[in-house]
Amino acid sequence: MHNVSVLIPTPLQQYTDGRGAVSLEAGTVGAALANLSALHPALRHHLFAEDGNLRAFVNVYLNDEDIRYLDEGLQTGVGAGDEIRIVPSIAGGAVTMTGDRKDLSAGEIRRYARHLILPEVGSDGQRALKRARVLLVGAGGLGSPASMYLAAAGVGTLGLVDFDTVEESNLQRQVIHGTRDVGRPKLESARQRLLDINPSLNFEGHGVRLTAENALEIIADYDIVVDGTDNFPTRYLVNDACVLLDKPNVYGSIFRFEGQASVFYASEGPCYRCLYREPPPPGLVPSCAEGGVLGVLPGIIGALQANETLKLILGIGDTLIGRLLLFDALRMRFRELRLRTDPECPICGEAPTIRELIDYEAFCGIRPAEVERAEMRIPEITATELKARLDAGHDIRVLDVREPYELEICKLDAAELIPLGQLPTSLSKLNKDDEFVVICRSGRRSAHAVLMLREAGFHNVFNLSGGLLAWSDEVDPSMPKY
Amino acid sequence: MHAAIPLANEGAERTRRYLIGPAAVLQLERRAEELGLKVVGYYHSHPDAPAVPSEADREHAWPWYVYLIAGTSKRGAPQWSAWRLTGDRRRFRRLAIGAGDRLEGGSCTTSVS
Repeated sequence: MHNVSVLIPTPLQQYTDGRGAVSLEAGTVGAALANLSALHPALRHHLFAEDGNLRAFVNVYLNDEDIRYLDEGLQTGVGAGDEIRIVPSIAGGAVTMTGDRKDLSAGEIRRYARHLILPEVGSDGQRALKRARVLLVGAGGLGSPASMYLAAAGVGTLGLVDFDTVEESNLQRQVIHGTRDVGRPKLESARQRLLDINPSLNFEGHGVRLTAENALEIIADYDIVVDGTDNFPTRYLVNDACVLLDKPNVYGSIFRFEGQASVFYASEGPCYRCLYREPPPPGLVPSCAEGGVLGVLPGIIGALQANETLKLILGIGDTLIGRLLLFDALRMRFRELRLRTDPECPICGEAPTIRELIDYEAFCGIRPAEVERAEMRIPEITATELKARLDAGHDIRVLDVREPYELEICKLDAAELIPLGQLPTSLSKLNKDDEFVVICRSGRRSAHAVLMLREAGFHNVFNLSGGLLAWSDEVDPSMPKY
Repeated sequence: MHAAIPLANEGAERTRRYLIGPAAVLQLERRAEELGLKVVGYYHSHPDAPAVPSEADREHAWPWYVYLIAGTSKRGAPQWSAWRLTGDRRRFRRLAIGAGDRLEGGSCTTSVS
């Protein structure tokens, strides 16, 4: 063993703490390079190919002699004070080397023919797609079209995070699932559909909820993340994880008749927090389950996300980095907002205060429903109890605080309609001594109404726990759920 | 950027591939050092092809270097684009070319410092 000095070329000095020379002990040139990789592990895959041999464009000189021309090559012995120099050669070119084409099979050439004749894609692009690893968060409205188009386009590996099962109310927009899939895990149903579209797809299912505990581990393994989530905690989680891991985050969101899309990529432009530093107060922005969504809308936005993902992989065109695309399905108009990187952004700014993933439920002001209700001390009645009391002829006024159009879907005959928004101005018409049960679809809006009534001095007010969904489950299965 | 230095293409198939061997790279590095400069990247052209890195470009790419590519067509001026390899070697990341960095097209497959 002798002390030798390994000279590192500029492009690799980022992996040796900026040092141009590393001194170490070794007996041969090969051992010196192995020791160097052990000292600085990130160097290894730039120096060695997967088969363990030196990469073709990595040249090694021992005291100004190219070791390829020395009889013993990497086994050449070294002496004390020797200099081993790593020298790049620079190569490339417009088309692939002869033989490289082999990894597109005849079947692939037939399948991707319309891509291959586009100069911007070609066989190089098609192989880049094949090599790409894309993670979709959510197999719902946005994830359906996005994953189907990405699979069809030949993206080699698609990861999908979803722990839900297919419900009938999903089928109006989540076109990856079919009627026969109702009740199945979305992951299974999506897998089957995607492999039917493209049998050579490598599908990686993650049947878990994405959390601060598992997000970095899951996302680290992919090149690009497609955010198809429907809630703020997960959206901030995906954003922060992508910033910390330096991955592009292809964002889409939908509500009623409007959608948005962008690409958040902190190393090249703004992130989601540069746009919205903090989430809106809980309850202010309704979810699609509460506010509704036109079925085709996620199809449009999800396809835009697939489009941006393909461009990122192929390195073509102008992506939505730094732009927020707004789509209005009723006016049929696209608008575009210029987004700027916020130097004070808490995660991608100049002095970030967030350096690891946080508790996103708490950050978004969301607490488990039971805790929330217990803290608000909202008196409740179950559907079964309400039914029994109504049947027994108790004098109860049932207030339905849903919107008029929701009554057309289902209602209780005994109920009077006062939409939540009109409740404050309707209080004077109600007798404070009456007994009230307030109902809505799920029990959330009615809980707010109960709180409002009690603050106004009504003392005999109860919330129908679980709303009409619970009524349908416990009392009257013929009542439609929505 | 202070200087662009043309280098000879040592490759066999000169219209489709380029190669700058280690001896030329070493010589370039030493010359840059004497001038108090640093080699920050390399430029090459894709004759009659888009200015998008090819699979061969990726396979041979070094991290950190900026790769400038001129895509040429019979229809007009060359299109320049700038790229850097990602740390995992899987992709190139496109870099913005600033308005001040005026580039003149050439028919060469060479190097920039």
